[in-house]
Amino acid sequence: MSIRGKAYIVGAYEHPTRHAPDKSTPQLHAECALGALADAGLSLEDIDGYFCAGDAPGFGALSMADYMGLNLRHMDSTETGGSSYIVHVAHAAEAIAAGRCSIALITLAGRPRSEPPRRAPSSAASPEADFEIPYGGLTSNLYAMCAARHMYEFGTSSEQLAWIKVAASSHAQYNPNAMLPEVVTVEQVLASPMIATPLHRLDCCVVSDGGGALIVAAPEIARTLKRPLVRVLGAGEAPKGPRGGALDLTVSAAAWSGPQAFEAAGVAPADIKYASIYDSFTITVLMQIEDLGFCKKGEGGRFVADANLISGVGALPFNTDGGGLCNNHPANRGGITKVIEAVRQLRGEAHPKVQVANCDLALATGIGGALGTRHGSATLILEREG
Amino acid sequence: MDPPLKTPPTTRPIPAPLTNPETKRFWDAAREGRLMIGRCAACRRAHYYPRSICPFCFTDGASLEPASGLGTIYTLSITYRGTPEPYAIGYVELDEGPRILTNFTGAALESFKIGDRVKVVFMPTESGAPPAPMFAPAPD
Repeated sequence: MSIRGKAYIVGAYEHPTRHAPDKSTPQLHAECALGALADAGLSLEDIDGYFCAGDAPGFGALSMADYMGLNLRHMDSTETGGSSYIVHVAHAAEAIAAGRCSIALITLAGRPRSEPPRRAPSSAASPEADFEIPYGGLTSNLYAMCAARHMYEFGTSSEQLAWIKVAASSHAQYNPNAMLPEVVTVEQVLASPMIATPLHRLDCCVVSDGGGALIVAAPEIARTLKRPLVRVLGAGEAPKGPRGGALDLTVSAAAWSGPQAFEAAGVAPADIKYASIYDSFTITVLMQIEDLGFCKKGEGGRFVADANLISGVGALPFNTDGGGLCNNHPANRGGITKVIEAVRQLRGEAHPKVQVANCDLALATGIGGALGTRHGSATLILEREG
Repeated sequence: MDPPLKTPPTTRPIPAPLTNPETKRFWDAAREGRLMIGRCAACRRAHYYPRSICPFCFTDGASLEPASGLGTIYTLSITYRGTPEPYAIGYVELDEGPRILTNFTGAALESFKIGDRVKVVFMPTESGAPPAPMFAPAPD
């Protein structure tokens, strides 16, 4: 079953908060839902499908549906870390195409800045735990190991990675809600403290409270609403891990999710006008650019250092909200903000300084989990209709 | 703000493996200073961490066998922040093939490089649990 043209993103909302010490996580989910409903011109009783992931508190969809007062005939709690919400858009389109629901709500929210998550205890139930937890894998070093190997194999440099942060900051300066709106230079990135070699502090995304929500609807409903039409064209998803020791760290699962999405959409990388690329770290962006075919494997460093990611300057304007590197990474999960900025671009509602001209085809891609162990990649291609 | 280049090997407490019925023999061998890998009787490929069913061909009845304990560093990262003291995490490509997650010890952290030859050493973990395999520079 193809999802091409079977569903539309009719509502998108990014919570403006970046620090919410006086709110609860369920409250943030509900505020995001309210914002997306208002954006779409819909009300809560219109929702018949709900999607959430590991950030949803309590019993996930059951707790949140009850808290918000949702009456549902379809639920999906697919969990692939920060890329979950990109998967959810595709799964919502599939559910709509299959007649399982007609208007689906997706929410994400969390408060890691106000309440840093406690390290998960070692779990005997996780098959890999005993073989990984003793070694102190942190989000930072699990991505840094990929950067180190990429540098070794391809000569990628810290200066080249820094260009990704420079591009993100050049966009963030126009976002009044961005957590880090200052434009930074390559030299500033390299001078920031070493977190886990070879990644510096400014190679890492922000830690922010907040959230976002999306509403995906059937075509006949989307056409009755007042918002510009943003159509789901294609999607792909794939997991990748150490695979029993047959591990390589210079190719992400985007090498599998991307081709699925391009084939389903019937477009090629060169057709994409704007790309939201998950930027948990600079290396995450570099590997996805290569794996999606925007440049050859190993040439990502040169591609980004040629300023290709800067809107109005380069061939592949990315993360025009400032991305996770500068704007927002709510709940330590950046997938939903990737889709939201792609929707803004397709609607022509990005900041005028970063709006891509005639932006009729956009991509949102994400990597959740840990690139250095096991991760899930999701790629979504969206088109403006009319 | 690059860090100093002579950080001694870590003495951080190593979290204890909990073990389970499937992996008990691996950890019993670790207590005796032997690194074990999985080997499939059907496809003959080596794998790690060990499973009872081969992760490559999904044939039941994979067995444990001793590894040489020798390998080459595939990648590594020295963690300086978010930890009470720096440590070096990475993957070693065992001579038998599998690339395995580990830590590096026995020399200044910054002296380890991708491509270096290393040899397994077993480091004590918390609470008297089985020791964890880590890697130190291999003698020439």
